[in-house]
Amino acid sequence: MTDDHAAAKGVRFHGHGLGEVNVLRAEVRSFLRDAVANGEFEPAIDTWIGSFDAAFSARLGGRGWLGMTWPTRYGGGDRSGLERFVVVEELLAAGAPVAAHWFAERQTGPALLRYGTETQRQTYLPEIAAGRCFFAIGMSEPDSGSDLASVRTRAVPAGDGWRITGTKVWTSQAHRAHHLVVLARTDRETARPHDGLSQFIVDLDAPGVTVRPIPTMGGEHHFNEVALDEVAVPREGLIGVEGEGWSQVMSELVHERSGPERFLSLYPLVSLLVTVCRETGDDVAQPVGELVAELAALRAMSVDVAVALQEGGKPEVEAAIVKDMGTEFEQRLVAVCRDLADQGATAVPARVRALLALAQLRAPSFTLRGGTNEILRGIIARRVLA
Amino acid sequence: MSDEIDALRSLASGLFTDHCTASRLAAAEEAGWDPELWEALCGSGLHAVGVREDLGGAGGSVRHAGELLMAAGGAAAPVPLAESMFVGGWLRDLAGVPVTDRPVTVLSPATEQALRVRTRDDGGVDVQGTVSNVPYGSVCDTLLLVADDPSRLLLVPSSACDITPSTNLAGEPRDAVAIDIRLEANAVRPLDATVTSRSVRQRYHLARALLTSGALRRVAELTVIYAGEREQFGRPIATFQAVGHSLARLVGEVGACEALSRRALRTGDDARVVLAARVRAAMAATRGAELAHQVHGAIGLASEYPLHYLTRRLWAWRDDEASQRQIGRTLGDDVMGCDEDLWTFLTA
Repeated sequence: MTDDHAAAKGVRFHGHGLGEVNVLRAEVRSFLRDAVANGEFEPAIDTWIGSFDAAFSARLGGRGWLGMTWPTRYGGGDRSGLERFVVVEELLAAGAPVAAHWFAERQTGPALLRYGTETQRQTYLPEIAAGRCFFAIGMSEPDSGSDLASVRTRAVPAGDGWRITGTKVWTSQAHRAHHLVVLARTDRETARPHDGLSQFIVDLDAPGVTVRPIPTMGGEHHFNEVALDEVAVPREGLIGVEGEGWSQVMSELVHERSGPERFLSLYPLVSLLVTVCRETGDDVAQPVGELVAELAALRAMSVDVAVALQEGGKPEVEAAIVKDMGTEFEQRLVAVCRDLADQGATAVPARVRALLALAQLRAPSFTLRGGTNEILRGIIARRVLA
Repeated sequence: MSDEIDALRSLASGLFTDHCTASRLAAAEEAGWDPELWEALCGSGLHAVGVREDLGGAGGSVRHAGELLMAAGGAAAPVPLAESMFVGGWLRDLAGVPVTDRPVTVLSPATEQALRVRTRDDGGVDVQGTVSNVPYGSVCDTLLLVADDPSRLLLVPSSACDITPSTNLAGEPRDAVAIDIRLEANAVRPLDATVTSRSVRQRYHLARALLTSGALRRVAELTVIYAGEREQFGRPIATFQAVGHSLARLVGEVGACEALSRRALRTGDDARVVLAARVRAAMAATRGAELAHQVHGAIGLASEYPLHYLTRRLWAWRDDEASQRQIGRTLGDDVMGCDEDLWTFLTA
């Protein structure tokens, strides 16, 4: 009945805490309270995708809250991943506008630290940490979404560098970022499609780059199509090793998948509605208790992944679990928000109702972005069956 | 600490593997419990983890006790380990009451139940009333009860009670206990004012969350093994995407339950984390059992197949001592009623 079996054994969560972070947390909260009081931003939802504010990103950079874990010689703060976790979750819970620096800070910076040349690090990292240099991520294409290895964008040798031709799609904030990280094929004669891919830094104002908006339902603009027509990229534009783009991208994904943005996208709306219901005295204890239990569990899992990353581990499956469960929870949260708003009735301010409407329009994207949940479940299943 | 915990887990799991076979579990359900397993646990000191050695305990912290309970949950161990060790051992340790090989259970009457405790001038206590759903009441010699104002631990001999045996969905004893007793002063032990009947309820909530985590992990293991071995249409059913996705969701529920239960162990007395862990465990039990049974197909329904020893416990433990709904409401009331905003509450 209890014979030891490897199945599911390797996937374990420990309930770790973040350690001594209260001082930092209080600092960030105080900063955010002041920012809201000064009218610098209004709490919004899904802000890491949709709320682009270059000035605010620069302010965060000035406080040393971007690139926190990077070495100080690159403009970082040499702080721990757990401290970064605290800053990120406070920003997201407050609905602060973090989209401008988001991808650069979360993904590109760490990629350059891991795979970049010294020149690339010196060129980009301090500016990213200062909140002044923004990146967009060029991976998906019209014919390559979940099957990312099938990308057709080509990087053809030209002089000392390459010329890149292809089309990237669903590129969030490419219309406002400075640079685009492009996943392109450098070698077409490989046994597997995953081999022969490379990552490049492309300047978004370079000749041959055309950015076209893809408005989403509701008329919002964060997605773009980026057409690359023989865009010249110098040798120094290659990130890491030519032909190893796939494994480089995969290691980025662990960081990308497990963060608190995977379950906090709608949190500011929940918070506003709970506040309304506290004032009206509506009986919402049951749904609130249940959502707190689910949120607390997701947060505990996300912290565990952050701790594992901090200790140099590669918690790929645990990160996939956090993303799958977190985003599904976020979608279900729309129903809870509708109920809370219904209870609150006329006491719910127009602004909050507008956020609820927006939440419904954004919700389908939660389980699609960063790897669809179907793909993630496949990853989890393959691991537990191994 | 983690080496010790691994060693403890190993010792416990070996013992449970030997004793908690399907046929032993079936027999225990007939008999009410498995005294042989209890004896084996006592032999290794596992009946008293978390209790000071000078009280006859095995030493160890709440984390050791909690990990042991998870292992017991995974084995569907038909013994009052939660009641006697995790809750009862904790209380006896606090009150300075020695632990013996005889198991005890702890009464945790729902507040609506009529159990009256009256203090006499001679320091003794009169206890009168009926408590239902007492875990292992019919098996234990002593029933512990925490009285409030002032906080005291009462040691009630079950021989002086009128016990009507009953069971929960999993065949575990959940007995009705009618008490009408005069306790002398020596059966009344002072407790620190911070230990109240509410603390006992909280300790039980944590126990059920831990048991559930352990049982759910084992349910996931059985399900993954089954899906990898059962072939239909010429291949293991695990290779079908729909089944693979169910396995992934099941493993996710185990993770959520474990993460929060272990967080509750680490944060000690944080009531909000314990309540959240208990509610989350109940949700995980529901979703997990459903997924496991669906993947297993009809064989999972058969009494000969071991899955039901675990899933019936998952279902029963959701509403043990208090229903999932009530506990969720308590947590929600706590959130709505406190001064802090929700985010401060969540990150405390």
